[in-house]
Amino acid sequence: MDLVERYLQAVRFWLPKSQRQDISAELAEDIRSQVEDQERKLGRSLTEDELASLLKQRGSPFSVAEKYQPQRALVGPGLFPIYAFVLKLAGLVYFIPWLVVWLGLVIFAPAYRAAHPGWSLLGTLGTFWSLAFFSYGMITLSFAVVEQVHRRVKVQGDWNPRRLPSVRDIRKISRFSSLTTAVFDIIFLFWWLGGLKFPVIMLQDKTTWSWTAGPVWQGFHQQMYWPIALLALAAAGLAAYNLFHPSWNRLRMGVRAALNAVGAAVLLLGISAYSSGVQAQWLKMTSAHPGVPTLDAVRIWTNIIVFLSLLLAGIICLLTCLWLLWRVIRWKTLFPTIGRGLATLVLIGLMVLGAFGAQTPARSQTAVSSTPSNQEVRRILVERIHVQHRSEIDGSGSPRLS
Amino acid sequence: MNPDLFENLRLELRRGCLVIAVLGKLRSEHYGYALRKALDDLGLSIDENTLYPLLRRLESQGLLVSEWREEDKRSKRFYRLSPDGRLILGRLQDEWQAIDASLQRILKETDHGSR
Repeated sequence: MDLVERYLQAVRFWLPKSQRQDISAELAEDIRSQVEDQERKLGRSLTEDELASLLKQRGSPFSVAEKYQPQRALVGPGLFPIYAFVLKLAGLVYFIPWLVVWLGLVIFAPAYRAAHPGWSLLGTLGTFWSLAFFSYGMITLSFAVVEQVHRRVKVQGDWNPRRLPSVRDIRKISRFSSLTTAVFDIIFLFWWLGGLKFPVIMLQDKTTWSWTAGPVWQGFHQQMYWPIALLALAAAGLAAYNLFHPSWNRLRMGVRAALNAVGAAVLLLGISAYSSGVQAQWLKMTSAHPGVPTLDAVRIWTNIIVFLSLLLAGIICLLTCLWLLWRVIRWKTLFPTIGRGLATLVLIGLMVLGAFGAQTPARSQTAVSSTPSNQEVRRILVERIHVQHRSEIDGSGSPRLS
Repeated sequence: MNPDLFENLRLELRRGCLVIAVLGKLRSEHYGYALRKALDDLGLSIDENTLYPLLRRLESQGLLVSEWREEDKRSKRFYRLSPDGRLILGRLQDEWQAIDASLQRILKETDHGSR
């Protein structure tokens, strides 16, 4: 019976302390009864192999003891759906944008790549991982505490069916969303066309320092003047139309996808052509107290934020476009979808061509007769910087923010 | 088809039935091994790793009472139904009979429909 004692000792190790002796005594009695029963049938004592086989049939000591443990879960099934939802939300609103910006910097910012050569580029994700583990750990810990505290409280005990949200219609377009989109697109259009003059950055204070368009912004604005103006006009038109016809159809969804595609192309290709990455000078700061370290830091960080904002806007446009195209493709019937899809692709192609073929000869003396190469753009910008520099020295004026 | 599917469904079906069987058999006093044998002899075999935790759970819920007593010079734990357990068993029996009758009708109806 040494084998039985060893087995019981191993089971005891995993049993809950308060019931350890009681359970093991009952188990011992059950095993002895079973052994005696078998011995009675066989008319002889069990061999060690037979005893080992009998114990093996009962299961490993851990699996036997585990049945006596109370059911435990860090986050129980009642809270789990909310816990999973919060984790997804954290991923969606924080970690995915974080990763997208990081990828944007890696792809579109040569200076960033140069500052982190080779594998050290992956090292820059260290903060991301630390934050991700910390956040997910804190969320899990919080839910574990809630689980312990409210184990016996039914979370949704007092729910009211009348407060349930209305059935979601994926084709419905929010009128509020259409209205705000139309209004903001029109305001943006006026600002972009020069009808409205207000500071690009709200931190303007002419007594100490002020913002003006930097050379990169000027080049970008000049080259993208018509594409962005037409894009804003089309987006405002679509939003206005949606205001009176608040339900998506394939054509309008395709047009919206096309507008997003053009937006993504204009922003992503535009910033990659006109800036040299995060260090590009989009906005220029002139100050009565030059050389103040704080102001220099504000200038640098403002330009970085402008770059990242445009980059993020471009990526959001691209993702929205892909999502809308996916919805168009999955629309009920196949053949009309193919037709609409082809029409959408043609529209996207035309608008992209329009965006990069568009010229602005009437708006500037430096306008060129065809789309300039990167080298030509750089040459033009260098000339503009020299002109600005001379005008600042001569006191003949400051660069104009269009 | 998932090979474990039937086994999982079978275990799920048995889970509630075992409670009724154990409570029913403990209208008279039994110790663990004897209860297991008795159920097995009546065609409802139950694994010891299922039976003993179930007995403890039912006891903690107040449906069973137990005591350690010596029998054949060996200390054994004897279980029997408590007054609450008797009450619950009666209600569970009614419920079981209602379910059984409904299932009989449903399955009979399905058999007729499929023929």
